[in-house]
Amino acid sequence: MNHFESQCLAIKQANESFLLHPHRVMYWPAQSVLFVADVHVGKEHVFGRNGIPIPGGISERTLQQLFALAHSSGAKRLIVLGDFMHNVPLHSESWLTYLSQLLDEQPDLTVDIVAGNHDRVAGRHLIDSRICWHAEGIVLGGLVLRHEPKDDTRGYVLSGHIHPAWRIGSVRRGGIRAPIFWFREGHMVMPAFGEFTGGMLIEPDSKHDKLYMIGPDTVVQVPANVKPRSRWRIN
Amino acid sequence: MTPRGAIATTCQWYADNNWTVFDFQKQAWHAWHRGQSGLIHSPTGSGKTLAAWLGPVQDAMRNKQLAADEPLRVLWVTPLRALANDTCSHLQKTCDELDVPINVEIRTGDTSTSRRSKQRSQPPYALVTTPESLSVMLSYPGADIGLQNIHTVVVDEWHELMGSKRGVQLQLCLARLRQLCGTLRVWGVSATLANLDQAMADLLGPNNQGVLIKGVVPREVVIDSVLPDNSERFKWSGHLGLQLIKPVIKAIDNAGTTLLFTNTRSQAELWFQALLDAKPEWFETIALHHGSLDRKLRTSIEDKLREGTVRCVVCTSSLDLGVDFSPVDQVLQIGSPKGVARLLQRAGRSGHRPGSVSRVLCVPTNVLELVEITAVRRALQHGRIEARTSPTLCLDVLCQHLVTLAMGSGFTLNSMLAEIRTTNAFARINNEQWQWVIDFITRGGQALQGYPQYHKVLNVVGTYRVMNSEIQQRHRMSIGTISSDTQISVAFRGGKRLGKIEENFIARLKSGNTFQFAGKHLELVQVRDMTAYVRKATKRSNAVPRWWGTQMPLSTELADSVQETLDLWRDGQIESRELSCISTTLEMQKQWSMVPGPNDFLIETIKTREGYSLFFFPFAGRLAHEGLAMVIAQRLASITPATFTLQINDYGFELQSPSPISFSTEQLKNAFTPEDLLEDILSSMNSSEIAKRRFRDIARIAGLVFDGYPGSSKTSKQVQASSGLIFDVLKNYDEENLLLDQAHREVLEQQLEYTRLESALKGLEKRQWHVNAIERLTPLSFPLWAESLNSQTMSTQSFQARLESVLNDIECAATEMKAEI
Repeated sequence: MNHFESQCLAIKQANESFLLHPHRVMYWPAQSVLFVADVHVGKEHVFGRNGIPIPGGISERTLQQLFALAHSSGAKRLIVLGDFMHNVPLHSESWLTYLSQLLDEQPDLTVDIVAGNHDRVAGRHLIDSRICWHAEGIVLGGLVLRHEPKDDTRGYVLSGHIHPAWRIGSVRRGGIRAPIFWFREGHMVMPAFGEFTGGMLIEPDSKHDKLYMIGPDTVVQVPANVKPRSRWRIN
Repeated sequence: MTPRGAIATTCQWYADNNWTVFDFQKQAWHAWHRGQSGLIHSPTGSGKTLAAWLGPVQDAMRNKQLAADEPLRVLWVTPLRALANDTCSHLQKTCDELDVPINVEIRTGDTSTSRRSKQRSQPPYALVTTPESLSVMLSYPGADIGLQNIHTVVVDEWHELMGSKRGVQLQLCLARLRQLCGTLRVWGVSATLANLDQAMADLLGPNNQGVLIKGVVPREVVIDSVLPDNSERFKWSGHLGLQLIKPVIKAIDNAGTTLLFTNTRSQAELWFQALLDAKPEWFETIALHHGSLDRKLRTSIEDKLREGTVRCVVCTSSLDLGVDFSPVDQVLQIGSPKGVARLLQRAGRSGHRPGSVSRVLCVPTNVLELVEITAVRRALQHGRIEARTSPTLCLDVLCQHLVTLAMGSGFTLNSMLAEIRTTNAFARINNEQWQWVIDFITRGGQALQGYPQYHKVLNVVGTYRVMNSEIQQRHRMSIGTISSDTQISVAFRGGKRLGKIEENFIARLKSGNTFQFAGKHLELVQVRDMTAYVRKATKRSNAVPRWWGTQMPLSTELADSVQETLDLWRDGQIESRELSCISTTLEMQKQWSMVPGPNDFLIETIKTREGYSLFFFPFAGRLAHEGLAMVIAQRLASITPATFTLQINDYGFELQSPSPISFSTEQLKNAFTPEDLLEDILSSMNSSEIAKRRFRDIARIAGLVFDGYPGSSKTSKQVQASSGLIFDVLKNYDEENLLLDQAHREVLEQQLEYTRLESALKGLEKRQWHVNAIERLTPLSFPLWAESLNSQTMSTQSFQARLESVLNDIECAATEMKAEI
């Protein structure tokens, strides 16, 4: 078992094995594919352009982490389930050259990006021979890869889009709120990869859903039916 | 006509109306004619409005033929939009009666665009406005409606503004006006404060002289209380107080009009509902008033109050202020008064006629509040009223103000720095901080260097300006420093607005769920466009929105007085109705543990079903206790590894551990050392979320977070991020960002009252320590034990361990519940 695998939680869904990694990516050993969603590269620049000062360098670090994971997982193919970019980038944005450099470093890695709501238009502005854009999603080995979570007759769906997060207990009282891998009956939702992305608390189906919560260096399955404990109600 | 003649005419008008001219009013008028600025302090309803207003009116009287193009002369700044209408008509009425042909208008966020443009072409003589609207006026090129001709600014209820960032914003605007206008008189009107000199210096700037004018002697205030019939069954904890609803109803019944003040908005909702349930026939004559309700609803209630057609208004601090509302007959205060000044202010709403007595009837919600009522009376007798301090170096407010000015006439660096240094808030800003602020608004701070697309404020040949219209629009919308969480409107499906609730509360509800708001039982239909659509519910609900940040701490003055009162009771030197009512309870405290006075530091220890508890009673107010509890928990946990649950109230705090803990008095004393206090607080803060929560307001004020509005463009949606996320990003990528620094400072000073905490800790060293192992929870410790809802956990455990312990906790609860069934 390599280092990447040792950090992962192995699970089975739709008769396939997946490895869930705490850095918010999922590996599919059967086809050597690394899945990631909602990277939102360039988001800080969109803010900056609009007069909201967010420090730079976030995009570079995000990309660096992503490609390092692609390398350490041994993946042959990296598939982004939408929202790779936050918006149409300007030529001057420094991460563009950095991305090119990273792609050069791993010439054997195939990169596919399924367009999401943020980069359906933006994708047309990032033309690179080493990146394959998919406007409609991909069907691969019985799985459907798309951005918006929705069941599909063609197979089990892997998706992103909603940046799922889950909370156990009250955060003020030592509880935990963290991003999750959200596995439902007909589809699963990846956590958002980008560092500068928020999360949305989901409303799971407590009977059928499986939630895998992400800690700093571990992924743990947590129950979907727990309610925060309240000892007394004082009025 | 000479000033003297104009004053004589005014006095004649007073005489015609059979009113007395107070000396302080004459003083104020003379000072105004001499061109002076100053601060008038006097109780509510004593004529301080006229003291400040008639100077400029007399001036207009002297040249009766005001030119048709007479520019704007007087700016009247009021802290609440709700007060603007009343103020405006009050000021106008005086002029009409004195037959001075000047008009007074309003300019607030509610003023229509057409009205504003009319004000631009035909400026009124005086304009009633709020600090935020003044700021917006400064954001227009050419300073909008000719602010440069103003000769007088009156700041009404300055004591309400000075302690907040809104006060800081106003200080900056006044500094601008002083530059803009040739001669400017600035007059503050304030209630009595302990530190009037500072209040005046904040208003006028440290280098300007002013006159302090003392109004009439405050009316006598009588503090009374509703006592429970059966004191032995009176609650030891809790904050609602419905136990005493019967005597309260009786009191309301016996008076003409009543204001029933509560400490929180949820408490107001619950009391309103309880009164309706008990007296359904009062449906038409009782009303609810709090800050989250829609302005129209509030205005209609204020009107009814003025007409005298309402029997009782249940309200919060939203009615603390008011332009001489026709007096109510009676003021009731539910729960702890929290501070002497606050109770005085509320009491002042009754019996407005000069010479009459102000009366307030306090309704305790638990046993210990009866001690507070005696204590507040005692503090008042000794004239101990709280001082108000004002924040300094709020860089978020400065960032916002500079962008505002860059949108207006623009500014140059040196003169701007000199200008802001004329305010008390920024007199001591150093060059480094100034440079950081300029970097932040021009280049987005150090971290954005080399990033050319950022262009909020541009340096155009030495003058700083904002050119981008979208940035301008967004900035104007977010001007204002009043903090609020993301609020969403509540409206009936027909469109009638009821008010605003925190998004967090609505987020927890599903369609079909019911809750209580605006005095109604409502059912959520759907949430769309930042609005929660509701309909009247058919079934009742006990869910009431909780508004965060409404809990204010017991003031130092009152807390000290509580301890002295306890001391005097112990020695049999004080008697009051309240104390004799609860003597049994105090006796219990004495026998089971002790009744601590100002020279005692009481610690109680006990093992309960929930775990092992340590109770500490420094009497330093809930904010200081919060920080203290975190520090002490961390220091004790370094002796024996443990997870503590913290509980806090105004008298003390509790540390509870699931596993056995025991510390010697020596160890406890060591944990309470003032040494390394700051470092320890900062390190314990890192493991908590407070700084992040505090950052919310800062991020909004400094323009890092922008609340969307219905119909906002796609771009504006794409640049929305939660302040928490931005906090994390700044921490990782721009650690030197001074706004983070400010968040920490604010947490220390405001959230944790660091100065108070430090002095409390120093004081504790000198006290006599009593570590009492108790057999059952005492009247002092019980409320803490029961107040678990506010508890926080401090833990140094890993994610995995924390997750396990939370899950374990939840499982236990589930098992317990099953067992109970």
